[in-house]
This record gives sequence, C-alpha cells and structure tokens, in this order.
Amino acid sequence: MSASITVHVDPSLGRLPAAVSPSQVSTFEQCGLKYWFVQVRGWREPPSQATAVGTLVHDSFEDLYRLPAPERSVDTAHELLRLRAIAMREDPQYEPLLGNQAAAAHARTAVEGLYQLEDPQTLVVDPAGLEQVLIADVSGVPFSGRLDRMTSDGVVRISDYKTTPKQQSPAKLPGALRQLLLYAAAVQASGGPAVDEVELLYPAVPQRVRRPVYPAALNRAVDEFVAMRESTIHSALTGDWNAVTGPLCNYCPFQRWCPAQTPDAPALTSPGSEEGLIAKFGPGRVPQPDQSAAAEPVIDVELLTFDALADDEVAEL
Amino acid sequence: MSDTGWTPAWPVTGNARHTRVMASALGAPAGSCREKLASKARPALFLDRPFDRAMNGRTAPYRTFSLGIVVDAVRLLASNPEVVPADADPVVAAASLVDAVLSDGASAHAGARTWAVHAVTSYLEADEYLREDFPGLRPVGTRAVMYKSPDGEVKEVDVWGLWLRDQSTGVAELRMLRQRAIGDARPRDPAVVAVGAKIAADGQPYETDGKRYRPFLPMVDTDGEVRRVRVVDVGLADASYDVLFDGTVEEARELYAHVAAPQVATVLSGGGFSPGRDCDGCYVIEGCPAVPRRGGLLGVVGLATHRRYLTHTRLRDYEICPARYWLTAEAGVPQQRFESLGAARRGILVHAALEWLHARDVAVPCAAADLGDENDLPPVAIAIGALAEEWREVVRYLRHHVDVCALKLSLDWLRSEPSIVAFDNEADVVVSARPDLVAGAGDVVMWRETKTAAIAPPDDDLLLLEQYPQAALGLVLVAAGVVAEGSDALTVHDATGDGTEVVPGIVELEILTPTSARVVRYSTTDAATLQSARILLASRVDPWLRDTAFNPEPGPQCSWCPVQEWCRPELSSNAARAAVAMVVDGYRVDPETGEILPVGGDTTRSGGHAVIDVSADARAGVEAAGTPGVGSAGPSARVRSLAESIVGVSGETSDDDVPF
Repeated sequence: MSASITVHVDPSLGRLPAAVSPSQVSTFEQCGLKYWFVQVRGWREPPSQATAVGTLVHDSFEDLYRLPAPERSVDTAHELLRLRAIAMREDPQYEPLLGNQAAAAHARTAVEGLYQLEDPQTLVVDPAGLEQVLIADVSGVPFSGRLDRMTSDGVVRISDYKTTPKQQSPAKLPGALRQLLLYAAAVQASGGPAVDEVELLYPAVPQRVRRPVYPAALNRAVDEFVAMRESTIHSALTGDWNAVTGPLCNYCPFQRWCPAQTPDAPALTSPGSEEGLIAKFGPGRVPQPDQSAAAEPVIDVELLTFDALADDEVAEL
Repeated sequence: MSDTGWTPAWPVTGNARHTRVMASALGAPAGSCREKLASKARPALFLDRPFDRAMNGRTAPYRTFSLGIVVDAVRLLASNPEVVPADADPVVAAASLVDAVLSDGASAHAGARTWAVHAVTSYLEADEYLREDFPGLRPVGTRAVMYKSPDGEVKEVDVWGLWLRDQSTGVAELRMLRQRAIGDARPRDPAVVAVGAKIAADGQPYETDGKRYRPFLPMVDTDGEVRRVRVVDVGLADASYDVLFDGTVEEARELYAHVAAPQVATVLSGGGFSPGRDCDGCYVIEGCPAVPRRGGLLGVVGLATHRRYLTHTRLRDYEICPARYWLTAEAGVPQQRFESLGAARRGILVHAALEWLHARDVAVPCAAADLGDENDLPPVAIAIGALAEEWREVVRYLRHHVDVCALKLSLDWLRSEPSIVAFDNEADVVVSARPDLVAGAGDVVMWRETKTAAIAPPDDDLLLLEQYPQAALGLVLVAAGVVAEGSDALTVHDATGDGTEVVPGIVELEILTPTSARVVRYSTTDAATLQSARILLASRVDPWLRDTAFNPEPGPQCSWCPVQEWCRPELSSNAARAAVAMVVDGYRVDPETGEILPVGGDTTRSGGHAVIDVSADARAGVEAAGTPGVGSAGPSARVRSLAESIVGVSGETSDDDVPF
C-alpha cells in the first residue's frame, strides 16, 4: 500500500530542470520528493549493478547497430560488450562493481537475448536513428531525451532497451510504454516522421512489447507530461513536495533523509540535512549565491523553454 | 494428476484432492468446456505460475454478479430484520436491504441496483405466497453435502440458493432463483434439482471465510430432523415460483443417486476444451493450451481493472452506451428481447443460408441453383426457416454472393462460423470472435466476413475497415497466428508468441447489396493496412478498457436497449419504442432497420416518423444540459454503433442461471 505526505522544503534551494525527460515523469509519479532530491537538487545515486549493466548493454548495442548489418554477429556483439566493459573500468564511478560476475553474466544474457528477439544481421538501422538526442517543445513543455533506436521498415518504430532480467508484469507496461509515447510525440514535434509503433525490448528476459501509436494513448501521455510539469512548477514555487511511501522506499537512496521514512531526520534543507546529503551525494545542483540570498524560488517560468537547456543538461542526455 | 482420474493440461499446484461440484456445473449446456468445469470443481488446485503482486488485488469497479446482491439482501433480512423500517412498503424494504448490502462491500452499478431492488421485491412477494402453505419456514444457513476422508480427501457438493427449514414439520426447502419469470426461463436441469434435493435431505450447515480454496467448515446442525424435502424455483421478474421437487428424504436420495451422481463424476473427469464463451471467467486461461496467449494483441496501452471478455458485440454495446455494456455483459441483469426486424432479420437469414450452404463440402461453391426459383423454396430456405417473402428478399443479396463465393477458391480446409479465442495477457482481456468463415490454402489463412447493405459501399478500403470493425479485428487475429484449421490455434502456431510476429493471411470483406457483390481483400503482410487495423482496434478498445464508471449515454438507442428497464424505467413501455428516423453526424439511419440510408432517400418512413438529430453538435447540447455521457466514439463509430444498436442483433443472450 502506498501513502503520501506533503513535505515542505526551502524553495530557494535547487532549481527545476529546464526540460523534462520521460524518465523524469516516472520519477515524479513514483515520488515527488524523490524528484526533488534527484532533479531539483541534482543528487544522483551512484551506479548500481543494474544501472551499470544498463549502460554497458545500451552502449554495446549502439556499437553493434552502427556496424554494417552482415557484421553484426553474436560473437561480434559479445566482443563489443567486452570492449565497452574494459572502457568502463577506467571510469572511477564503476570501480565498486569491478569483478562483479553477476553483472557480467547479466550483460551477456542480454546480448544473447537480443538475438532471440530480433535478427541484428537483417534489421535495417540508420545510424542517425541510434541514440538520437531529442529536444522538442511538446505542448508547450520543453522535452529532452535520448532515443535508443528509431527504425523504418514500412512501419516507423521507436525502440527502447530495458535490461531488467525479470519478466515484466503487465501492470508495469503502461508506464514504460508511456515513456516511448512521449518520445513519439517529441519526434513529431521536432519535425520528424509520425511514429507508427513503439517497442520495448527486454533482451535479458527476453521479452518484446509492441504497441501501435494511436491518438488516445498519445494524447494521454502528452497530457500527463504537461500535468506533471505543471505540478513540479507548483511544487518548486511553494516548496511543497509530495512524498509517496511504499515498497519502493526500501530501494530509495534518500530514505535516511526522507521525513516520510525517517521522522527524526533533520528537516530537509536545514543545515543538518544538507551536510549529510552533500557528504553522501556531493554538492548536487548548487544554488546561485544571489538567488539563495534572495530566498525566492529560483524558478522562472518564463525561462522554462528548451532554449534554456543548460549545456550540462544536454551533455547528460 | 488428481485421484479422480483427471489430468490437467497445464502446470498445477495445490490440493487436487479437494473437490467441490456445484449443481450448476451439472446443468451446464452442451458444448461447455469440460476442462473448465473440471478445473473449477477443484477449488484448491491452481495454475502454477509466478506470483505477480502488481496484478493481484485488481477488482471490478462494480459488483459483477447481480444475483449475489439479491441473495445477500435476503440473507441480511433473515439475520438482521431491523434493517428494514417497520411497516415499510415492499419496494422501500427491498431498497433498504439492497443498500445495506451495497454499503458493506463493493458497490453496484446504478442499473444493477435498480434491478436488485426489483428482484428482492419480487422475492419477498413470492416468499409470502410460499409461506401461506408452510408458515413455519424460517431462513437457515447455507448447506452442502460434505465428506472428508481420514487421509485428507475432501468432497463437497453444493448448490446456490436460499435455505429454509420448518423445525415443527421437518420441511427443508431450497429456493433457487431465476432472473426471468418462471414461464420464460428454460427448464431446470433435473440433475440440478436432484443435487438440491439431496443437500436438503442430507446436507450439513457450514461456515466459510470467503476463501474459495478452503474446505467448508461444517457446523453443528441444530435445525432438526428433515422429513420432507422441497426444491422451489423463484422467478425474480414477477414473483412467480415453481415447486421442482416435493418428496421424502428417501426419494431425494434416490433421485440424486440416479440422476446427479453420475454427472458429478463426469464433471470431475473433464473431457475436452471448448474455447469461446466459457473462457469468460475461467481461472486457468493463462495456462490453457486451447487459447493462444498474445501479449499486446489488442494494441492498447493499459491494463483492465479486472479480467474482461471482449467480443465485437460487447464493444459495439459499449460504444452505443457504456451502461448498456456493463449491465448486459458484466452485471448480468435480465435483458429485454426485441424481435429482429428488417435489415437485422435479412442479415441473420443471409448468414444462416451461407453457413448451411458452406457446410456441405469445401469443394462445392454456392450456385444459382441452390437458391431456387420464384415458385419453390429451396432446401436451404427451408432449413433456415425463411418465409417465402423473406426468402425473396434474401435471394436479392445471395444471388450476387454466388459470383464471389469463397469456396470457388482452391481451399484445403474450411470452418464455418468458428469460435476464435485468444488471450491478451498484457491487457488481461480474453478476445473472442466468430467470423463467418475461415479457410486455408497451403500456409495461408483466410478469414471472411460477409455483410449485407442497402447501398453500395464506398470505394475507400480503409474506410470500410472502420465501418466494419470485425474485419479489422480479424486482420489482427490472423496476423497474430491465432486462426487455424483445428479446434484451436495451437495445431499450427505457438501458444505463447509475443504477438509481434506477423503470420501471413488474408481477411476478406464481402459486401452484398441488391445490385452487386464486392470483396475487399486485406493482407496481413501489407504493413500499412495492418497498422491501420491495429490503430482502429486499439482506439476502440482503449476507452472501454479504461472506463470505470460506465455511465449511460441516453439517446434514441435507449428505445431498443435490452436493459432500459433497469437504466431508465420510463422507457420500458412499448409506446416509447415508436419508430423515429435519425440523422447521425450527417448519416441518415433508418431506425427500424439500422441501415445507413441512401442520400436523398426517404428519411421518414411510412407513417411519418419524427427525425431525431443525434449529431455531435446535438449531443454536445444534451451533454451540456447535464446528461451524463462518455462520448468516446468517433463519428463513424457512432453511426455504426447506433445503426447496429437499432438492428439489435446480439450474439449473446443472458443466462438467468447462476454462473457457477
């Protein structure tokens, strides 16, 4: 069972992302306060085994599909995975995961599974359709995101890799599909083709989920996207964020600082809380001195267009 | 394998040695799925599958079994009489009981509540009549025949109804409920009566915690000795009743031994699959080898509130009016039946004739000679029960069919009016269709829908797909590989495909008019066409899947609505059915036949019918005035649905029996 409480924070600390990505919508839906931790304050949890595998598999699939089709053998895919893993070793944030055999096995399973879901050696992929950065105005809300893959074989299809090793519950699919529908809306809003179909690929299961893009679903996804942005603006202005408690709290890195989970924790944005969070997650999104001094929300609704997308946010995509 | 000789065809876990046979299983109609009955008779034996917490706990927005409300209300009166105000009018008393029941659990759709109040009122009236002869009868708790062996085997035989007992005379009475008047209901199966009599004679009272999989908990029987057994049917439409059995304990036992006991064993032993209507409410459909699972088949982004069963008729009913859908398909309230008229009757006869003709031989196409001449009715006309006048009208269409008969093609196999069922496990919807014909040549499957129309169809093939959405559904089902030669699709295709591989196949839409025949052919390998069909289907299913209110959408269609009495009682009189001509979003629809009329034709039928405008603008005005409406269907769907509504041909009829 989930419940929610409203948590008040100092609205002068942090700032809303200039643009909204589909995963932000999911985070906000899961818990408004987590959205504040991650997106407003910029405190990102360090990579977990699951996110590291996700990055590794996504990168190696991108490498695979940049090759000419006949060269995309499963052996080549495994070699690309190995090369990506070697490169990952150089990144200090992945150091705790070095030598993790379970993660390696998970990634290899995903590579094998891809070949059960589709035939990479016949799939027609335009390299321009790989890992495409999308910046668009979707119904007046700046959108940003990175599309895993877009193909066109009579049907314009956008695909998203999900590396979870578990068969997906039907109850979870609508949320995942909504993310793709938002990409479909953004593709069209940015002058691209009308997307006919969206596809979720779970290579580690393996499982494939496809849906036609039909108006009611597309409109609903966009409406929810806009509503989410409006809610975040309201929360950012008032400092009131909705903390949703439930089973997912056990996986939340901010549990120790969350008033809904740890009632005796120091009040959020109080010095005690800030020190602990900064010590754990780094400085995050540091407020500008003049803005924090003014104790006014750093949200300028007029600036919330995709033109205002900061360089570092583009780089993060 | 259980020790009753039945081996389920799916992985199971739990206790196979606990059986519970409901009387209604013995009265199941011919053609019922015997495997479902056998499975249902083992309440503690489950399909073995991974537990999915997110899927558990979903419930229907309203109670789906309206008869249960009635029984709960009557039982409440027995246990808690003060719920009813003193000296209350019978209807007020019934309403108090129903509302008390509904306040203590899941709510009911307003239409279902209206019916429940009517039904409880009828029951209380019948109860008064029945007590005239047996004034000592008092309600007692539920009873069943129960047996538990020392080694843990549990056998239970149960019947659904209300129990009464007169301790002074030793009369034990079971009252079973019928939605209709006794004279309108189909006769009770003798085995059901026999089970009721046996339980009245030898059954024990029991308690249950509501967990179906737990054995009943026997209680001490304080109701005294049984000397006389009565089984009574009560008709909830009009307080009618019928005594089905009245005899001694010994006679009850004898009847059970001869009539019911062999059938109990038959139910437990299974005996083959019958995909179709029985898939509705089946607990093991996810493991059923006769029903292909195709995640994403419907293309819809969403998950049903509870497992739902979808047919073209149900979706059409939903598009006409969400309340009509809920009350007919989910709540199971009694439906008024209207005689098929005009185009509906013509369509029924054309389909019946083609089914008869095509059943002769796959190599014998229809010929002009089959249709007879003006003087003699041919065998086919006699076989389908057409009157001479009707046949003359039907032949105007059928003679053009001869030119395009599917059997002229070189076919390897053919099935006429087959039941095609698939399970979209990602939406949690069972999809069922009954095409006019499916056939195969080599590896290619062909699905044909035959329609009659007063005017020639438009040339736009995609528009036709929208006008005849059965063809769109057919294309999606054929592409998903769930259509095959045998009794189920598994003879040629995978049971658990993810629904994303396209199986080559053809859907043909044969449109017969008095002057022409046209066959429009759609191929699953035409990506754009298949995509259009998927979008059409998903767009239709989406509002139905997401709806949790099922509000009524009042309009001219109410006059032909089978549940009008429970939704809008003021429409239940025949006078309200006076024919009216309609203009729907610019289309002119004959209200009596449901046909879209030629432009410039006579909109008002003979007799000067009023013209009702149900265009979008007019509807907006109605909705703005405060009439609840969902308005989910587009103009074309609305025209189609309204037309079909008025035609009022439903492949489904409500069963007034208890759905066990």
